Amino acid sequence: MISVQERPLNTNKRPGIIEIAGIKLWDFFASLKLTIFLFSFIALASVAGTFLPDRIGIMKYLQDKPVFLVKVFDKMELFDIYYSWWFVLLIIVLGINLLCCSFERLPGVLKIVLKKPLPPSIHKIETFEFKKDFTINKNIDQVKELSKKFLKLKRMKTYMLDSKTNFSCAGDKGRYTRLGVYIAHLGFLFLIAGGVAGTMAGFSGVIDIPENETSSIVTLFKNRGKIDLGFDVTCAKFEIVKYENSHTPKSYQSEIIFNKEKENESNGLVKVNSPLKFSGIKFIQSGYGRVVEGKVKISVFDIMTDEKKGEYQIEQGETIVLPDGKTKFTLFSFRPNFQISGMNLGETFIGFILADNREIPVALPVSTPGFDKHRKGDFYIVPDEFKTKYYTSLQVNKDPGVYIVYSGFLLLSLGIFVSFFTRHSCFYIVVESMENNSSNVFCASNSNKNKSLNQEILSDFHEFLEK
Amino acid sequence: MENTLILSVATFIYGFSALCFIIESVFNKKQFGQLGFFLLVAGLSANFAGFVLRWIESYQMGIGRIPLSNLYESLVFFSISGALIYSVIYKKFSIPVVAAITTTLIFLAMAYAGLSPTADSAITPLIPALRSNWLTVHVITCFFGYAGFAVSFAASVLILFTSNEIKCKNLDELNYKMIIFGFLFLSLGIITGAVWADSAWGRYWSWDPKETWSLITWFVYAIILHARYMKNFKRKTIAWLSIVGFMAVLFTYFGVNFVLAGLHSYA
Repeated sequence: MISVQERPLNTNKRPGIIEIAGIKLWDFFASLKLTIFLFSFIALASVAGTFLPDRIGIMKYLQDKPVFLVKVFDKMELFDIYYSWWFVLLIIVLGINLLCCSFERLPGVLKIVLKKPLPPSIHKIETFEFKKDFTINKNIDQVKELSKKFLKLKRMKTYMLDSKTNFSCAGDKGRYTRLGVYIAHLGFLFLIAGGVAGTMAGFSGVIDIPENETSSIVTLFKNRGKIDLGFDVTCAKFEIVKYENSHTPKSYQSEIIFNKEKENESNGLVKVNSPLKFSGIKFIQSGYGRVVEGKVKISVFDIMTDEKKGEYQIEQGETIVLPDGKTKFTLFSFRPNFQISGMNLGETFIGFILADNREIPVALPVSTPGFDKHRKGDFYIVPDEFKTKYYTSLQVNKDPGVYIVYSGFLLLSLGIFVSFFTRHSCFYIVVESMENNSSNVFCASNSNKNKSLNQEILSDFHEFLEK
Repeated sequence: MENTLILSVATFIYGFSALCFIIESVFNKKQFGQLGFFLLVAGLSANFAGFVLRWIESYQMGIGRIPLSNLYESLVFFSISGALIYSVIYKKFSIPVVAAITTTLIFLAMAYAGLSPTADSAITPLIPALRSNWLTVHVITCFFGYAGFAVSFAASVLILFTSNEIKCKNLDELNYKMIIFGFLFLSLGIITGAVWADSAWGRYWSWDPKETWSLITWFVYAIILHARYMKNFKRKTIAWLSIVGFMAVLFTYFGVNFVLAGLHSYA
């Protein structure tokens, strides 16, 4: 062992600037003030995030011609705060802060946790805040047995030291509960790590598949483009379950078949609240709708005479030439609930008329056949016959961080419970043998929280011995 | 419907209980405090009976679900949790003003449930997104948390007006105990919500306003719990923070639904 004299003398040598900076930096990251600042700042930024509009919304509102302030806000990523670089940075700094704080304080706590309490001397008992001493008409062996019983009753582990004339013992329980706060903090770090992992290596989007059709293309959220899953997803059937005697939907579900090269086909049911997992990717029932199946029969009428001029079978996206030989009509899409100036037209076909190099949009609601007359063209178009079928809308997620997050949830709940609702308590007893079969008892109680209970335990012990 | 009748009776009982505690606080009459506590327990019983009856009635209507799924039902459950927590701690912390504030909050929640047009008392079928066993755990944990924070709010308000050191220490202990209780349950509420969201919407967190505001609330109380370990932190500062925390609770509960739009639009 190195004695004090042999230790190299540091006092004469001034610490270098790098050392000072290092210490200062460590102190900065290990300070509780930083924690409170970060908590406050992240909370305030989150408040702002719930009130500021999202980027897509504001750009649409300003018709892509942002004013100066909006440009500044956009540069600071204020329309997408939770995914902005500075918000993520704040959270990572909070993680570093947490780590530093733990490393700073953990050694001291570990020392207590790993050290068994020592049977005290009378002198030591005097140093405690909660203590009691009394004389009792029982001999030392009786008191010893009763003390052991008492500590056992309190579920404390007992550590003894005795001789003929006196004995001393210490009992404790819940030493490991002092680690609760670190369990909670570790859980919180897991949440941060899992969240970051999910954002970096995962994706989230939606895939729409009509019944009996197959797709592998996912449209990512937040305008982040499309990706190919690398395997085929087929919707074999879609179904809506309703409450008895009611039109309110109870649940809806899709029968899905996955088909990946070199692997066996896999199928299953995706229901609301019951997603399906394939190849590490989660499929969640998030919505449904109707699409047109096959060709649509449309009729073209003369606007003056209401005389039928032609009948066509066309597909969506197909263009036809109207009876005048020059006007073109393209059937563009089908909308189950088409809204126009606040009015719901119900099932409606959308198309374009191309006449004299001008493109005019056309709405053809199924329930109002004459609606196209309002366009005041030479002809009006009426959708006649068509078939629809359901399509299922599945949310598609890949999140490799989710297990880390779930572990974080468990650790955090456990840690919060242990650190606030359990405690480490110690009980110390020293007994001196007296003449005529009586004994002097000195006892003390200590705990890391709920200190008022200590007084109660001391009285309990006194009563227990008197019995 | 009989459940709403019983629940309005409970509202009145809570109202009288609050009145008794107010009289006790103002005129320092102990007997009123005892009557107030008796009425609080009576109100809680009626409240709970109404809750159970509503559950049974939903089965009779062929819907069959625990009544925890809209604003009306959540207010009713908030009152149950608040009254239950206060009844349990009453013996140890019988502080008239805290009792008066807490019972007044419970009464207001019930009165709001009964009177407000936004809190519809009809029993309706669950929308598909809410049909899950997580609903029960999520709502119960959240509202136990909210109720704990409501009591801590009452204690904090009183701390601001108390100069007596012993009384202040006692209030601070109550405040702290209710905050750790609320914090545990809020954490569990957020976690169960996240697990549920993961199973229902496929993502455990999507920064929906309700989620975000519950996180903001969590941060405020986390600040309080950490601030206690800092030197020179005064009780009054903690009390102010606790009041801010309860405002965040209220905004999470009501504000988000009325001011901001989001996925969590049922309650």
